[in-house]
Amino acid sequence: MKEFLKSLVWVDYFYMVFTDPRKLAAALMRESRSLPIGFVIPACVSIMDILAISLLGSQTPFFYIKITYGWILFFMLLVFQNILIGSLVDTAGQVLGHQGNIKNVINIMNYALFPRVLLLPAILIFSVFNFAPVFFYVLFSMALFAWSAAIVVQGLSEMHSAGLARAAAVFFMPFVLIGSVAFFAMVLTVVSIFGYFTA
Amino acid sequence: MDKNRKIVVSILILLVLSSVLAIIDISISMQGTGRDAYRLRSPDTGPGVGIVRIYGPIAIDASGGGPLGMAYGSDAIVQRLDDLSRDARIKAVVVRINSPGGTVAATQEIYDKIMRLRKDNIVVVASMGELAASGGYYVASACNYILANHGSITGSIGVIAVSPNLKGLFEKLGIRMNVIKSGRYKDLLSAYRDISQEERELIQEIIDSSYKKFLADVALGRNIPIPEIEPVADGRVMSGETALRHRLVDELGSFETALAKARALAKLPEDAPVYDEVTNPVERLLMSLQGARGGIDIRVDRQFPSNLPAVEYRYQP
Repeated sequence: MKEFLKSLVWVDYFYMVFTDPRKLAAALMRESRSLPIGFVIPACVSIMDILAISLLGSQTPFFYIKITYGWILFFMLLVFQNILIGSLVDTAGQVLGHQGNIKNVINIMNYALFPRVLLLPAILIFSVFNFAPVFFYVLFSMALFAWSAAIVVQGLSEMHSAGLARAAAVFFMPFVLIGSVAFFAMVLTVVSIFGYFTA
Repeated sequence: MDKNRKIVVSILILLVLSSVLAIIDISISMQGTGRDAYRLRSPDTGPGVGIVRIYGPIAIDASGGGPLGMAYGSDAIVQRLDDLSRDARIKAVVVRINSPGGTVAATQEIYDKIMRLRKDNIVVVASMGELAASGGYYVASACNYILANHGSITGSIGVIAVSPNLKGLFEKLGIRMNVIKSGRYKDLLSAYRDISQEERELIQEIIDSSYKKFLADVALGRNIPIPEIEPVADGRVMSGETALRHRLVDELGSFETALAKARALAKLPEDAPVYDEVTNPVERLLMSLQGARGGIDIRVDRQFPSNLPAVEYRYQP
């Protein structure tokens, strides 16, 4: 691991996140030591996100506790989210006839988060000039989510040697399923509550 | 190092720089000096005033505390006062009271703790909200100085014990209770029979003893002889203005005035920091993880469900 860090190969991964996600996915699949480095990204993202959110409103001295300890909770949440979504995406891939490899999916998802660190410098500019920082926070968050999703889709396409449309289907299938389940659960709940009160 | 790696390193440096700038920006805005004041101060850490809030009925929490060691009820208030007394920065404490009082023991514990703070040379100022009656006033009387709003309801110096008599209802429903007891008074204040004269005298004895203690403690805290308090210590409630006339409070004023008074009495500068309790649940959780006592919920407005009769210092209209 020490040699891997010294070789600075991991720096190339960060470069490939921006320039060539397919090449990144291929490199990540080849190098198992890239997995622990990948978990550094959610950690950086959680710190940057806390700072970006803190820029949007007035803070109390609690900010120092938030930035010292709060990011750990946020980091754990991000990792949990990646593992959960990664598992579902991997399952969806297997359902569609591809070979499953949850480790690679989670690894790609971790690296795909990297563009989110750009949220802080972007928000900092709008915050300093006090020019609708909340609006731009929401806008950039959505744009960066789309960017991350695009990286994962390209990574899945490379991983499963499938077309972009099929890779997108693998990635979005869990979201569609969860969305549908949540929608029908909500409809059932509303119907039950309505039925209870009108019975 | 090749060109691509140099680009990534530049991005990483940019990110570190933005983080530092963001922290500086947040720190400046935190001081409330605005972006135009090019002055960076460290967060408030100097000598200042601590805040303790007593809202709702006062009682010892029967549930034994919440998750992550969180305490509730009067125990939490005593714990908060204890934390403040151990904090070297705290030179004065403002006790904000909005309470109709509560159980005798819980109220006395808070009173004793405040008196201990006074002995430790910490100035304690009471600030009354809408209501600081009975036990609420008992607690206030332990403070060095009491401020009430013009319309604060206070007084109600007295003790009360209320027990329902459901005998008639039980008879109507045909319910009879089987009671096997070791002594004749074991089911004292039972809800399903009339209270006897002897039992009433026993309870009255507790009430009288608690009342005497109430009077003595108010006299001690306020440094007023008991005969001067007795004429208004008949359970009556009064406005802040009337209480001032009877020397039950020292001044009419708001919470802000109480803070200013606490700073003045503790010889602190006018802009000395205020250390308020943490009320946000997420902040409390993080404080608990940090091991800090900010994780306690010191408000006592939780309802402690109990159908047991209690002797209370409580304003109960």
